[in-house]
Amino acid sequence: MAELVHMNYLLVSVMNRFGIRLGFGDKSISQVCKEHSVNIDFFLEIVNSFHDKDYFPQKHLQGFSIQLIIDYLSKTHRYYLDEKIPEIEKLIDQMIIECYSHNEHAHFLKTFFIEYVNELISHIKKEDEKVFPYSINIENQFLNKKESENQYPTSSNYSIKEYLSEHNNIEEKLFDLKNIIIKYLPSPENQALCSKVLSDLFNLEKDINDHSRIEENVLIPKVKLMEEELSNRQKKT
Amino acid sequence: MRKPTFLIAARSYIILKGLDFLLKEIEDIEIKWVIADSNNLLSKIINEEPDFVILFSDLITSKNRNEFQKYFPDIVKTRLICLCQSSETGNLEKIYSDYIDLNEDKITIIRKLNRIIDIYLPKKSVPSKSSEISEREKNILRNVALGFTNKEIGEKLFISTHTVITHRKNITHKLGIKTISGLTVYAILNNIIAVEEISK
Repeated sequence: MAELVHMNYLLVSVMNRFGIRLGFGDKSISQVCKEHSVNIDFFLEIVNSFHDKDYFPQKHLQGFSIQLIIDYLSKTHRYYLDEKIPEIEKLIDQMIIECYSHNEHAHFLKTFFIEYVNELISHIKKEDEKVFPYSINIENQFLNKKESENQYPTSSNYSIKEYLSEHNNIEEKLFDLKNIIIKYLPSPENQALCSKVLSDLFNLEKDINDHSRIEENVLIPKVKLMEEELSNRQKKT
Repeated sequence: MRKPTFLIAARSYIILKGLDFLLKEIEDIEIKWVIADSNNLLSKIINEEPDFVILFSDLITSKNRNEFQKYFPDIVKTRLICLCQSSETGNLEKIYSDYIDLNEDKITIIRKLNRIIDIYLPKKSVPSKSSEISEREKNILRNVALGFTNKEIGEKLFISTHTVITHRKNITHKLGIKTISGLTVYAILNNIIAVEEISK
C-alpha cells in the first residue's frame, strides 16, 4: 500500500474516501482493504483509473453495484465540499492580500471563485438529493426482480442532458479561473503562494474530471440500462 | 489545418512501439500503426492514403517489390519513409522518399521527421494568434460583461446576432476564457469596464 503512495501521492486523498488513513506500515493493499472492509477489486479499479487517465475499464467498473459506486462518489463530494474547497478559498483570500496588494480589482477573483463554488455546490446537492437516491432506487427495484406496484419514477424532471451540460460549465469556470491567474493578473508578489494555489486548482480539476468521468461513463449508462430492463419487464406483464 | 497522418509498419512489436513513442514527441500529428505482414500492407496504404508511412526495411521483399514500384513514389500521394540500418542507407529502394537511420539518437530523428513534414506538407501561413483583442472586440466584451444578450448587443451596435457570436468566439479563442463570469473578471482587470458599472 505504501508503494502506491510513493507512486502517486495524490492517491492519499482517494484512499481517505475509502476510510483508509496513512500509517499502514508494510501491509499489502489486500491486507489494508480487508481491515477496512473495502472491496479490493473496486478499490484497485478506482485507484488505477485515477492514476492513469488512459486506463478506464468502463465495462468492468459498470459491473460493480450502484450502491458501491455511489458510496465512493458521495465521499468524493464530501472531500470537495468539506476539505478542498474551504482550503482553496482560504488560500485565495490570502493570495489576494499577499500577491496582488497593489491591484484594486484582484478581489474579483474571489467573487469569481465563489460563483464557481456555488455552482459546484448546487450541482453536488442535486446529485446527492436527486440523482443518487433515484439511481439506488432503480437498482433496488432491479434487484428485487418483483414487479413494483408503482411505476418507477421518471428521472425526477432532471434530464441527463441538462446534467451533462452542468458538468461542462463547471469545468469551464475552473479552467477560466486558472487562466486568469496564469495570464491576466499582474506578477504576484508572493510567488510561492501563487504556485500553491495553482497546483491546488490543477489537482482539484484532475480530481473532478476523474469524478465526472465515473458519473458520466459508469453510473449514468448503468442506470439507463436498468431503466430499460425494468420497463421491458413491465411490458411483459 | 488537417494534421499530418502517419502510418507506421513493422513486423516487430518492439520497433513499432518505439516508433510510436518517438512520434508522440512531435506535435500535431496523427499516428496509426499496424503490425504488418507484408501482404496486406500495400492495400492498406492505398486505401487509407496517410501522408507518410514509416516502414521497416525488411517489409519490402523480392516478392512485393514490383507491386510497390507501381505506386511509389509517383502515383500515390503517400510518402514512404524507410526505417533502416546505417549500412543500408547507401542503396535504398527508389520507392522511398526518405529514410530514418535506426541508430540515430532521439533528437536527430525528431528533427529529421519535422523536416520531412515541412518539405512534403508545407504549412500554409497560419495567422499569428495574437492575444490582443481589437477595439471592436473590446466593445463587445464590455457589453457581454454588462450582461447583455447577443441579440441586445447586435441591436445596440447595429450588427447581426450572428456577427456578435463570431466576435464572441474570437474573443474566447484569443483570451482562453470561456465563461461570462470569467470574461467579466478579465474586463475589470483590464479596465474595459468600471466596477461601478456592473454593480448597478
